[in-house]
Amino acid sequence: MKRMQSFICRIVLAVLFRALKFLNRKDTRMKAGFSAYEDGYSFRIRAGMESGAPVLSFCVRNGQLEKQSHEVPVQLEITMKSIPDAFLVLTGQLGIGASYAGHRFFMRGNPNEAMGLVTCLELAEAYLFPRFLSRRLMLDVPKKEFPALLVYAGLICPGGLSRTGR
Amino acid sequence: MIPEYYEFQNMGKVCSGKLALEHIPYELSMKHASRPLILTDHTLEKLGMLKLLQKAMDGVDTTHVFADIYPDSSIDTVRQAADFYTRCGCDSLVAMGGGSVLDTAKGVAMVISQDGADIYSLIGCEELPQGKPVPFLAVPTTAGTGSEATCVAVIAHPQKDVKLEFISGHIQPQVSILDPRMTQSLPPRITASTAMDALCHAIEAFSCRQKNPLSDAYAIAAIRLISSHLLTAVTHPKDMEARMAMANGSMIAGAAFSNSMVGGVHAIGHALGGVCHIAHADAMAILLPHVMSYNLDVCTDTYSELLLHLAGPGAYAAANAHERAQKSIETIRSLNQTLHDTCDMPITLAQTNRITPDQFEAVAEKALKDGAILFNPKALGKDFIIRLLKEAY
Repeated sequence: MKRMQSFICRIVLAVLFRALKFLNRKDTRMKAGFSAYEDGYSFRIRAGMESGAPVLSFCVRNGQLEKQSHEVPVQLEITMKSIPDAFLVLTGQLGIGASYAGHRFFMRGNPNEAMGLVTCLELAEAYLFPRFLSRRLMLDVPKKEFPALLVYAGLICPGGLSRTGR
Repeated sequence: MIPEYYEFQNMGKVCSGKLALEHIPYELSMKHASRPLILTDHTLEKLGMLKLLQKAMDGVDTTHVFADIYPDSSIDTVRQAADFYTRCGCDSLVAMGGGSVLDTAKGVAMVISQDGADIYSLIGCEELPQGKPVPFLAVPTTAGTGSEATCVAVIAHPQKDVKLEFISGHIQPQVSILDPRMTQSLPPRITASTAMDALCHAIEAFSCRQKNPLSDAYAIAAIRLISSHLLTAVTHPKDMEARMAMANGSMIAGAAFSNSMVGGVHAIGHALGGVCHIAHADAMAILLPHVMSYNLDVCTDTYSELLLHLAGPGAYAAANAHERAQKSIETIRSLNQTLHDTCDMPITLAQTNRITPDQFEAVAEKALKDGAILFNPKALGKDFIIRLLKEAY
């Protein structure tokens, strides 16, 4: 069961990064959210404390999001306390705010700097999840600036969409 | 209602009441400590509070004192105090003061327990592993922050111009010493605003998203103590019963919100502090009724029950069921008005003389980046925050 959850979390983290990267180019609020961090500011999301748990590491570089090595120290690192906790959050069964409230993760770095990332993650969820699910996860679902279909298309062929200039 | 999952921690011992200070030597000896570093500030030193503490700590080496602590404690101060602790060969901490002194002491306790690690490397939320035990006693001299019972420390990084937040179960003081002599000389104005800060902690803890049965129990106890003794403490500063009720209420509210967190009042209040330097306690008192009004439609049941604890069974029974929530808000407004009339506590933002309407946008932007906003029971967007600020102005 845990291996299956871990596998799904790994996929979701990969999809999440692509969505964040795409939205950082196309959504003005996402762009504003990440550009509030200084250049080179880096993040890590660990889906569990176990060694080999899925990890996503990325940084803001020249206004764009770039993946980076999992070995490099980061400024803000969020670690879910277990893979099942991560599974709840990454599969849309538990909101990010609720997971913070419920002590589902711990954080290295200044908690005051985490809100920008939380806002961006919620924005990505609003695009990626159907509205009925987003409404369960968030007190206020942010409005989409363009159809979610574009994001899904962007996930499949990011290069193709960026050529449209949108 | 029991949340799907919650955590609660409050491991501190409380020594409350007459001659509590005199129990410090016993508490230290039970922790095999005899050479404490006393952390305080120069104001308390001038007021003779340090002498009082040293006299009460008969038989303990009280010569090691670090008093260079100023409002908005900084990581430089923590580093200096930790160095001083090591140089003097101290084995424990006794922190006497308000929020800044207690937060500095938490920082020192973290550094010492983690074998002298740099304070900046310890920043995080629930990330700090248990380190070397450092006996840590807190003696609060205000009744407001509740820092003696919280697992949170806010320490400034002046070079980066940011406030660093440290959240860990290991930084909570092991013993809180609540002695009436510590707060009896607080002026009425400070008594009023700090008490409203404590009341705000309790009310937000009672109504925010992370509330749970244990935090509710603490929040209710705090609301009852504070609401029934606040005016006496302001008008009769030497009334020991009222002073102790306020000290207990503040500490209990601290334990409540440390576990359930706070909400919109604190998110906007922190932003008002950051942008316009409005005193935290004043901001809490001013904003509380406005944020409660905003939250009313999602907190009707909670605020209805709040009336019972805030105004007593008589007022609760006299109010119609559908009016109780609104009456709770009116009770807060009326309390604010009485405190304004009694000791000139500001009840509008304009009365603080520190903010102009053109700053509302910046305040709203900053509030949206504050973690406390996540715990408010109702989503708070930028437009709503600006509207709230206009109302509170």
